[in-house]
Amino acid sequence: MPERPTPHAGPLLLDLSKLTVPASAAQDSWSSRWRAAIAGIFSQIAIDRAWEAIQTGRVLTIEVQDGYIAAQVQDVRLQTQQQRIEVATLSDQEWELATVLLAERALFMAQLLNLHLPKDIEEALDEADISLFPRSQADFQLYCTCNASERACEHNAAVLLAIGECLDQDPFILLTLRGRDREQLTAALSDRRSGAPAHERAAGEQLPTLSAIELQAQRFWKMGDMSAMQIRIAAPEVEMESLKMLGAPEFAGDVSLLERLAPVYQRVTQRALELAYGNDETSAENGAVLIDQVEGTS
Amino acid sequence: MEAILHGTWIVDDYRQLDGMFFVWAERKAALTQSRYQVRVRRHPYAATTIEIAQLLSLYVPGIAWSSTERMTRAALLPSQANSPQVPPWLRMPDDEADDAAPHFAYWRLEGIGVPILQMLEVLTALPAIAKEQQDHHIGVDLQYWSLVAKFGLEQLAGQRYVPGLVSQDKALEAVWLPSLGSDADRERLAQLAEGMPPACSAVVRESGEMEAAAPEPKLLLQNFINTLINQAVREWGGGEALLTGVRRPANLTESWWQALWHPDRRLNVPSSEQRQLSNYYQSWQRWSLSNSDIAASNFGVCLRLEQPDYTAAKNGELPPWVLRYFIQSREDPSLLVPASDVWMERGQVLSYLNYNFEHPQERLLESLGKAARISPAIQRSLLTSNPDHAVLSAEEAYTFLRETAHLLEGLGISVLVPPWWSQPDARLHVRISLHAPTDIHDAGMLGMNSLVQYDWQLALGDELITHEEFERLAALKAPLVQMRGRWVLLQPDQVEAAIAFWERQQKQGALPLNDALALALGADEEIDGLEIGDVELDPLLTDLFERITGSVPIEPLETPPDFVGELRPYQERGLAWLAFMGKWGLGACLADDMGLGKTIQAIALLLHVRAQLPELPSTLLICPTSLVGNWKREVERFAPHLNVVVHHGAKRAGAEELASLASKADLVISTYGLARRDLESLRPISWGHIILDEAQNIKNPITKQARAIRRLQGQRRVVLTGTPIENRLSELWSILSFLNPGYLGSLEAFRRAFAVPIERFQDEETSERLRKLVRPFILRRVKTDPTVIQDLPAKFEHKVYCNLTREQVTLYEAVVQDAMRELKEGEQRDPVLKRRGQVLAMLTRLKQICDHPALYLGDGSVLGARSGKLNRLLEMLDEVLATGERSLVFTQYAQMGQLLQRHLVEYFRREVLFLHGGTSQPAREKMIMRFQEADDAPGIFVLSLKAGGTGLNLMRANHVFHFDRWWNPAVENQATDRAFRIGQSRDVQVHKLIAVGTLEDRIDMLIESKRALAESVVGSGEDWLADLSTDALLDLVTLRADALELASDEDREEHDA
Repeated sequence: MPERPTPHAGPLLLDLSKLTVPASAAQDSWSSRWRAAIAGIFSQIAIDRAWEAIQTGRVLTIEVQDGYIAAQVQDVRLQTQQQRIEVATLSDQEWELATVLLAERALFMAQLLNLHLPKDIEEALDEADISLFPRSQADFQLYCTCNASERACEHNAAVLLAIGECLDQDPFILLTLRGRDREQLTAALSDRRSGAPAHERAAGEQLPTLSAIELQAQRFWKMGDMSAMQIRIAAPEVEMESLKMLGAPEFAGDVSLLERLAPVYQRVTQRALELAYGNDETSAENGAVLIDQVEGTS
Repeated sequence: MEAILHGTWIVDDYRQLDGMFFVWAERKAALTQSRYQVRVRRHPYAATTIEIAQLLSLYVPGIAWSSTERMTRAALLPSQANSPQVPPWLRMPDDEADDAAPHFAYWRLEGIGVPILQMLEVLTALPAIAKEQQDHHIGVDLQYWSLVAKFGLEQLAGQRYVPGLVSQDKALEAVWLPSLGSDADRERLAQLAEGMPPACSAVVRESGEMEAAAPEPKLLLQNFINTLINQAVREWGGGEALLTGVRRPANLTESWWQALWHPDRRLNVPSSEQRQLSNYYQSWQRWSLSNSDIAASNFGVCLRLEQPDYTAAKNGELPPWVLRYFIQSREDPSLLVPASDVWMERGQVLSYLNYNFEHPQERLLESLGKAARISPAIQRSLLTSNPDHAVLSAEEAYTFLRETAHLLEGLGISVLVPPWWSQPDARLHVRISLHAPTDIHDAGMLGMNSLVQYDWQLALGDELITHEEFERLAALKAPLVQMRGRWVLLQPDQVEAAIAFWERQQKQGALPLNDALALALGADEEIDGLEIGDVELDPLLTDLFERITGSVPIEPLETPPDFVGELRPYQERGLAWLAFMGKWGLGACLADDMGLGKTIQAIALLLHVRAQLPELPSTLLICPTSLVGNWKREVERFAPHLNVVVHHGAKRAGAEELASLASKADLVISTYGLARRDLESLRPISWGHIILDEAQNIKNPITKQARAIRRLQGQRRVVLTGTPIENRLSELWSILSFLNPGYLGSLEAFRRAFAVPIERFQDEETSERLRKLVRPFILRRVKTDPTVIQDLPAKFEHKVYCNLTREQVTLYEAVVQDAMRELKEGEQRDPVLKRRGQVLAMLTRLKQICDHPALYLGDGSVLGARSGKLNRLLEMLDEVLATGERSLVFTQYAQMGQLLQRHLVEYFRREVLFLHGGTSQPAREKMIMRFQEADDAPGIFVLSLKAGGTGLNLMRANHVFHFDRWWNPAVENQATDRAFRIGQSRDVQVHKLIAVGTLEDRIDMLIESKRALAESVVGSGEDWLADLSTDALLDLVTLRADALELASDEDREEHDA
């Protein structure tokens, strides 16, 4: 009996603010795998123009849901064009199989929930002949409101390339696109766990745990080496350095922003220094009291 | 209450800035064990919120912690069957169950929710963590957040934050954001994210979140810092007082400004204008983003400021300052291509020597564009078509040097300024010269309080300036002025300081040698707001200065002729140093490693001084009670001619008698406890030397004991300590203020100037300044010192004489009486075998009493301060642990081993290993492995001698303590040598503890005097003792007079008083 997926949580809105181009040069990064999957679809000219569109911030919105991408990209004349891309999803049977494989190791989900898409997952799925990445051009159906003679236009290219760049940050984009979003997958996995045969549930099984922590049991109470960490609490060499580096904001209308902020920055520095080193007379007593008490407790 | 404070940052939604700091605590003892079947059981060791409030008020007393918000959370912790796993620092010997790998389980915690700014006060007050001195009162989670909070505080003080605008739920919000503009800050933040202990992200709400992923360390950290910056700036920067009260602000900027202060951070602007504002804002912020293309290319932009040639002045007017533009090769920064050449290039690539620079014009323009936003002069220059320089007025040049250059470098543009700018003497400073008073030159001697003549003057550049000259320059009211042909800086605030300086300060006067040395060692960086430049010393002071700073060696002294024995070369150097310091009236701290012979160096000093200065009054030596016997023995051995008085015990002399005894004696030995109790007897006496041994006894400067010690009158002061005091600041102050009163200033001044920056922030600069100040007064040699190690035997043994306590004396005498009566009565009738049995039983009982009354009584009573040996062992282990070395402690009695282990764990709050005959093979291997391999291996390993055997390899230890003796040197050595293989490269010290005046002492002497005989005759074991005649036995076991004299109850409690 193929399981019924729980309802979709809704389209996933991609965060395009951190899009830098092309970020992931690493050969086996997910973005480069994605680029390989879509490589044959577009002409080189379309791809070059697509990067330009991404770079200049003309890719406005991308929403991803199961098997479907909706997007808005401005063309070179800054007219907004609408794109729709259909992507083949994995079948319910394939997902069921994938869920079984993923449930086998808690590590997989732990990593996914921490937004890592480890190579092992792909290898595990590979064995079942399931491919997370679309296998061919035929897996994509492209639409765009621009009047290009062909559908493999630069706008669609920009959408798909931008998605690729986001993959490294959030693997659920790919999983959503291929048929299961985060909620669905979590639900399916917990169904599977609870429905598993009794012998798999160890006696006195603990509550589901924060897996990522469990992985670090060895260093649970340990801090990384901070011996090189120098803290120097002092007023800056140049007042309002960070702010001055930006120059006066044009939108502020007048140039008085710096002047207006100067006393604010001074007061903050003053308070920070007082807190760090103490300056009032009472701190003398407190200091002595502290010595007494701390040594008294040891 | 013994408890460990924990806490972490908890926030439900990372986009919000409304988190709370959750503080909880772990007690040493379990509080409750929940009997109900609940989803989340209560953490059995969790402290109550009342206890948590008490702990918090230790660190920040000013806040009403008891009325702060209570919270309940669940923590996912490594656990065993019925409780969270006991953390390593609390693990007791019985907790053997930790073999099983821990699983994770949720435990309910009650705690206090602390708002971030209040928590900042707590986190700032926590000491920084140094590796060697882990503070086990503070959990590692809290130590981590303390470091993060200090990082945040640094960003605030350093003004590294900007007003920001973020979109949140379809509205724009004004927030204060960390700018994290420099690579160094970003790297440190990444390092913090990387190093977060998992324990920090293990606390969640009791429902819902428990199945979710753990908070990502990076997000948790970022959220904490963002919240901290936003709230601190809002509250400290002026807060709601800055609100103008206008409901509908006139323009976008105004509504932004309002929202930066209003508790409701949302901007009150129509949604149509939001997008516009947000775009403006982003384009403003973008200026700071360093262009990755530029960073990656092979060249950058460089601006060079050139000063006008003052000889070219026309009509008294100088030509302007010029800022020239270049592109600069990254590979070879000396290669500068003038902008004019760049503009001439027609192609996309500029070839220059062997370099090709791509798109040079674009890059240059881009950088100049950024620079123009900061510098109006550059902006002006860009109005021309091919600008290659900007023209700056003197005023602008000053601003450029002070400020703009720094900002440009922050933007990735390199800047060259005239070389004098960075030289400190280009600024106004004070020059000091010091002269020893002339009448002292002949005597060649100064006291710490003798007065040194000073003389100070203002200097600008490398020349002194007169008052008139200064006034003429100041009248120009220009920050950059020329004086005698060179440019110097005359900042307005310095001009004011200089005027005040001239009004207030006497040009000449006298200073105590104390302050003069501190000046010469760089204690102060400025005086009346003016930098201190060179300090000039006259020849006599130079001489002294060079010797105490070690740049010129002190003339060595030979071993005094009446010293019985030979000083090793480094000990002769120590003696010479002590004598030199004394001659100048400077207090000296000899801090050699344990075992290097501080005691005999001090004894040699007494002999040396007695020969040189017979008129110097007698010496007072203060040591812990546990050491009185040892001192007496050592003086008798190395300086038998010295007349020693022990002022100790119930029958000690009263004030008058002591004064007369002291006038005849060379040395009076007393204790810290008595220095306090008998202060009225000790203080009226004017001592020649006062020597403190084990000076960590005055580590807390405000105790009565430490204050009493500081009130004693002595011409010369010496401190002996085996702990590295430089890192223990209150101890350092306490010792230095005994040695050289006033040198480090008042305790409070010292705390502010040194202790706080070092303890809280590990401030390297301050540490270095302090080291420079105190180093001349401390001589510390470690065993591995190349100049010391060549003088040392590869392995050396020494005997540690310990007093008995009164309880031990009583028990000991009772056992001797009973046993001897039995022996005498049965002398004629009992068979030899029975007699032997009786003798051996008596010997065992006596040895047990020497070890510890609790061992003999076997009544499970507390160990406390009832054994002189144990007291001494604790003191010595304390020193060894402080230097980060490891020790083996051997005892013949498995029972003693167990008592020791428990006591040491409680005392030092550290893990202590214990191996005995009954230890299972796997446990034994695990222990040895851990001691030898683990990074955090315990510093103390207790072994019962019988547990030795082949295959024990414990080379990491370099101190071996024999808590009791195996009365056969061959067997003893064999046992220990088999038990550990001594590392070839490391030295091992063997400390043999001996109870003064007991059979241990007697047998030791016997063996020493007949070593050869002993080794052949005594055979194996202790049987030979059993064959002694009853009279000989009686002589052997009877307690000697000195044991009675030294016995005391006052032992340990006085150290802690």
